[in-house]
Amino acid sequence: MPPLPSKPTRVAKAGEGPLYIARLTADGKYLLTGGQDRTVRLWNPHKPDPAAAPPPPTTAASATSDEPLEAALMIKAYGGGHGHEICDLAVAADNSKVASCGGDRAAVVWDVATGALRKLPAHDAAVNACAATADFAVLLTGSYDRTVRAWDLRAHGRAPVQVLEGARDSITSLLVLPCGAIVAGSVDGRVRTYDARAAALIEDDCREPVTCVAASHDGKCVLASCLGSATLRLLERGGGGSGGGGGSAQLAAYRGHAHARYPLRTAFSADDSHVLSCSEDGDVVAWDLVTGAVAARLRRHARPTSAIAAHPGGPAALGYRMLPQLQPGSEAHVHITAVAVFSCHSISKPRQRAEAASAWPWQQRRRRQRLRQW
Amino acid sequence: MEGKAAKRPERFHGAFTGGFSAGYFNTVGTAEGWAPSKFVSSRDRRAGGGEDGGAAAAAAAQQQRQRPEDFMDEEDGLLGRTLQEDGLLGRTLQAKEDFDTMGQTAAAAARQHAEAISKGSAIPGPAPLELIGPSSDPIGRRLLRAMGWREGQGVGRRVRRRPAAAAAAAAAPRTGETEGAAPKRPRLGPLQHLEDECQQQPQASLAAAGAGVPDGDSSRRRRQRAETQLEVEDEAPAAVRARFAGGPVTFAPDNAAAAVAVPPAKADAYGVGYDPYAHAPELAAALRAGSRRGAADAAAAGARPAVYRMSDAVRGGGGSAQQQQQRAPRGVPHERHGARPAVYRMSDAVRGSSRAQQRSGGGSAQQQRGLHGFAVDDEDDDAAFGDAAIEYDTTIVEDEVEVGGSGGAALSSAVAAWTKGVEVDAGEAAAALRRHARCPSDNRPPPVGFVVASIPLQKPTYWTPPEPPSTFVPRHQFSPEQDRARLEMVDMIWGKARGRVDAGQRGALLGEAPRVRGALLGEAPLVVTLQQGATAAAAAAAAPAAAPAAAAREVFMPAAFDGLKSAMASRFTGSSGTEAPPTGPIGLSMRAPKGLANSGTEAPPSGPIGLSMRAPKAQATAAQAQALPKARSKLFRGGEPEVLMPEARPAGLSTGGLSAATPKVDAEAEAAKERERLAALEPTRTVSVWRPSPLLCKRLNVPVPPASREVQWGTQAGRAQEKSTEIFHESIGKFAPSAAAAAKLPLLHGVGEGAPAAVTVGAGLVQRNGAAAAAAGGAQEPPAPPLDIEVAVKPPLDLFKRIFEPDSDSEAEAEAAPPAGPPAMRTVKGPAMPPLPPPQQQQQQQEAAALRPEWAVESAAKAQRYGASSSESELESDSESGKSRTKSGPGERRRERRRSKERSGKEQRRRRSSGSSSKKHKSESKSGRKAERRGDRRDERRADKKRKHKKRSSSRRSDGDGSDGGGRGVSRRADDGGGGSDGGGGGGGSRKDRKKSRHK
Repeated sequence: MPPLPSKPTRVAKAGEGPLYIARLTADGKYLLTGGQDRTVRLWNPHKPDPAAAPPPPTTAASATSDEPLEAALMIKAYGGGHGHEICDLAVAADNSKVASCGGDRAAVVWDVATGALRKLPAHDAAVNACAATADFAVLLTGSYDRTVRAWDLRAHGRAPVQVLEGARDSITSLLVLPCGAIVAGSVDGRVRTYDARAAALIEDDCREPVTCVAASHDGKCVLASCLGSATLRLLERGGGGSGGGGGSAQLAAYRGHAHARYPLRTAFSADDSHVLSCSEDGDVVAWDLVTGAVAARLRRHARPTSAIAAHPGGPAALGYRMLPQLQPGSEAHVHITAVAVFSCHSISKPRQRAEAASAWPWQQRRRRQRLRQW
Repeated sequence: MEGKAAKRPERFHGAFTGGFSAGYFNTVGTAEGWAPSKFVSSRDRRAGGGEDGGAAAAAAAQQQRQRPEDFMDEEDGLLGRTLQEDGLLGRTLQAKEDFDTMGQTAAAAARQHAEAISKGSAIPGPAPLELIGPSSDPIGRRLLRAMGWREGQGVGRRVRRRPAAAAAAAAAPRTGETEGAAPKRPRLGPLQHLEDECQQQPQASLAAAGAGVPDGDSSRRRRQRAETQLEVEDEAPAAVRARFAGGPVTFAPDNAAAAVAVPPAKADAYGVGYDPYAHAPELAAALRAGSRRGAADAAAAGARPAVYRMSDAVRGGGGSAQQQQQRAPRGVPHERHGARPAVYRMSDAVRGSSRAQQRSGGGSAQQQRGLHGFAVDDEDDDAAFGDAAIEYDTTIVEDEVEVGGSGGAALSSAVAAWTKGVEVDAGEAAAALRRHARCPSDNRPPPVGFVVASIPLQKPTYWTPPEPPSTFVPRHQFSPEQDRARLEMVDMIWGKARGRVDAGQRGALLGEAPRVRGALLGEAPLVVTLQQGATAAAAAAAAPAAAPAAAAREVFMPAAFDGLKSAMASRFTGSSGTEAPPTGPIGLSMRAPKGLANSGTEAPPSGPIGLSMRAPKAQATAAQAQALPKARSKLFRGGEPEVLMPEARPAGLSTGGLSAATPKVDAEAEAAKERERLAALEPTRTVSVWRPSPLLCKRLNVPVPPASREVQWGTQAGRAQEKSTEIFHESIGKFAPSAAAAAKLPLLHGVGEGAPAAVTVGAGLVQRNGAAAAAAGGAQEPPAPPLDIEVAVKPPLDLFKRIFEPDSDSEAEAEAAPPAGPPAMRTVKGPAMPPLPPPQQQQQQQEAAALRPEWAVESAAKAQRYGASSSESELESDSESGKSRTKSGPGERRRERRRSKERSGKEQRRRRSSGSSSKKHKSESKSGRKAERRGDRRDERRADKKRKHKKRSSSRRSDGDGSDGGGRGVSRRADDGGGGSDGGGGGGGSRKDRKKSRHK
């Protein structure tokens, strides 16, 4: 197992205000950020910005760092779609489309190449989370209005395909798994899995507000970040509960980060060997998935980190970025932040996952078909 | 006009959308674009003014002034020819003076204004337009005059006025003559004598003059009008007319149409209609007498000793008499008239004042007098007063006389005395006044026909209030204990202890719900003041204060509510707080939506939350009881302290409030402990039914589960159905221990040790369905045994064969290799299988079974999406022919495309010519296979859209069969087979075609 990255390489400084979400594309080549400045920005985190001064003398992120970071290359900024902050992003597998959602109760689907946008009047309240299938056929948005709505992006209707109800508080995070399950974390303390295949709604009551859900790459486990006790809970999607009355699906719990106020995000590392989470003390904490021990603590930011994304390109390529930074003294005002991209230098060939036995047959078949097609 | 036609035809875009288009497509631009006028700075003009930029400055000045042409184009028709050639450019269009009847033009208005100012007006202030006659000579008036009309006359047929005496004398005989000719002639007034010389004027001269009365002498005409009977002139022969003694004289009709009722001029600062002396005529008279004019008037009318006038008494002020005086024509001998029309004419308002000005010489003074309602005109003062009083008040008096007899008589006698100069009797005046008194009850005038009584008829009876008992103390007193407790509580909440209790403690004192949610969110209680400023002594002072206050609250709770309170407490104890939600700092709202219960609502009663909330309770109660005075502990004994105490308390209060230890430490420790405890808790799992919509399933590449098929999607009932999901509060293990737990199979997409996912899913569904049926009291079918029993019988494969007629031709081979699923999925298993067919068919059946697992469908759908190979028909060929499609991929696609064309509606014709076309197609496919491959993806995408509805049915069928093929005996819905056959039937026709073509 390659070592975890230890130092940042580049910084991506967005506009005014903190960044709330950053996502890497499926191939790990590009980075998308969204935040308070109502703009979706597309970066190439692996290239420095030639226009920028070679090493910026001081950056906001360098407060806790020794050497200044070079700026990442911003490719494009998609503005004008949102009137409020952007809370979440979803990227298509082929990088052709990006969906964003935010405080203006709407979701916007952007065409990456042209910048054309399609706005969905999604919810009655701020939209906290969005997720889309890999082919961008369905967009799911989760909102403060306690609903998750599914949108058919292949049609042009303005009504959702289905409204998933059941949550008793704000939806904070959403996932769509390739097997057709929709995972939603909510402030009411539940992780709800809407399994379309089984026509079942599975609720895992964590009793604490769930701020983020992340799925392992094999889709079998869901990581729920719980506010309050600052615990990451690894829940087994399929199992659990079935073992006996009152059983639990929890496989492991990870603690050691600060998580009391903000909706921090969490992620699996590319090979599912580690669990990563932001922390309110500015760290990024990595746990060993199996042992639960803190494997690394990457200190970069002086203020809480908000978003994290693991690079899928290789086991070692771990990109994360984050940090809405709080202005000291005034908690309400979260102000400008920088995105530091920690990246290992080896962006190797596409990940060859160890998928011999556990891979799903249709995945193999699909892959074969795709290869044959090309 | 012709310019417009030459340039471009008018575009008419609908009467309702604006008629013709204007400009360039309704813009101000032109086809060449819109060129705004050049910006010319005024700097040069201002600065230079003279020498250096002469021409430029002039151009600038010209350019800066905006002209109408700047906003017009040729199509406006005014610019090109009319405006410039007619010389109207730059002028304002306005009516000519001839047609400007009311003098509305600016010049006329200005002139009018100047005249009004110079002359002075009868009415101060801005005069109403209606009262001011036309200042110019408009065309309408000229036309009328040419037709014989004179100023001041009415417009209409001329009328005949007969002397009143003659009319009275000849009343009876004349009816036969004159009214025989015009029997419907109305009599407009009492017949009176006519003494105007104008009456004697012969009609011939009138006709020659074209008008009856010389212009200007309107007063005479008015008197005529008032004193004569008007009759419309009939077209009687001259002989008949000549028989009249007075001669056949006709008059112009009254100008009644233009009559305007003019209210008295308002010159005081009172509200409209308000008369300050309405009920105090004496005061009014005194004021009047006190004024200078009043003194002169009194001197002039010295013979009359009356203090106030009758008109004042009746009307409540002097204004009426004055108005009448003003209205009365001057220079005319006053007679006793009957009722006069109480209307003003326009000419009265204008000319009367001017004439009065001429006569009196001091016009403004008189106007002032008139306006103040003070009638003191020298000459006709007496007569005017007497006349005016009667005249003006006639209607009122008559009205009252008719209704109320004695009052009317008194008033008329008073009036008579007044007119005769006799002093008015005080009693009569008082009686007259009383008639106008108001009801004392509501200060309104009495109803018509009633008079306010001078002596009240009945006195209201008042009863003395009952005597309170002698022991009554008019103020409630608390017992000393109650009092002290109350004060302590008040002190605790609002008084001395303020600042030492946090919001949660105060809320607990006031009985609010505890802040469970805040604790859950990891919020520290607001003990900042305790941490920072307060000393231990303060904390200690706060601690005992809390207990008596809480107890004091209980003191006030009546025992009658104890039961209710306990019930409510038990209901809400475990629930979350309702305090203001904490705001999420980074835009992600952590607030609870309104009206929502929090996560604690459904926490199991044995859960740690409930425990922690209840644990300190008994402790607190005991400590509280100790801290209380003895007298109150007695109260506690009587009541139910456990119930009365707020059951769930924040950790900081429950112990910190009672012990001497600082609450801060406790709060932090409690919070930390709570966090630890929460972290140690493992999530509990519940499973319920959720019905995804078919479209969502389709988009998620997931077969539509049976539960979703029960719902009628898109209808109102379906929406309700969708939401009414039965919730299973038991965990899965309770009702499916034998299946999932024993086999350690994950419910969804299990690990897959030899067990395909679909099977497990299906099993889970069956179990849940069974449980639902059991829960519903067996309303549905009896629950199936969990596993390995088929409820529905699958139709034999021969049926499918017969329907689909798989071709035995070896041309089409299934494209995909046998799916990589576990071998078990490819073997057909089940009691209802038909006997084994011949080998080839067996292979087909195997393939058909292999089709059924949902992953196969999914992969097919995926493949379809990615364009490599696709479509339901391919799946069908997969299932039926069992041939690989890889070899004949392009040809298959070609057929596919053709089939999709066939579906577009010309199927019959194509059937006829299918042989030849397929031949042609084969040759084509040989020649240009490579080129086709490129286009195939596009075509298939198109075909994909066309076949969406087919795909659903196929996936449904494959879903149902997949459970069978998987080897696990799973109940299958009975309609699966039907759906499958439906879908197959839909594709059957095209398959036949294909088969034909293949045989060719």
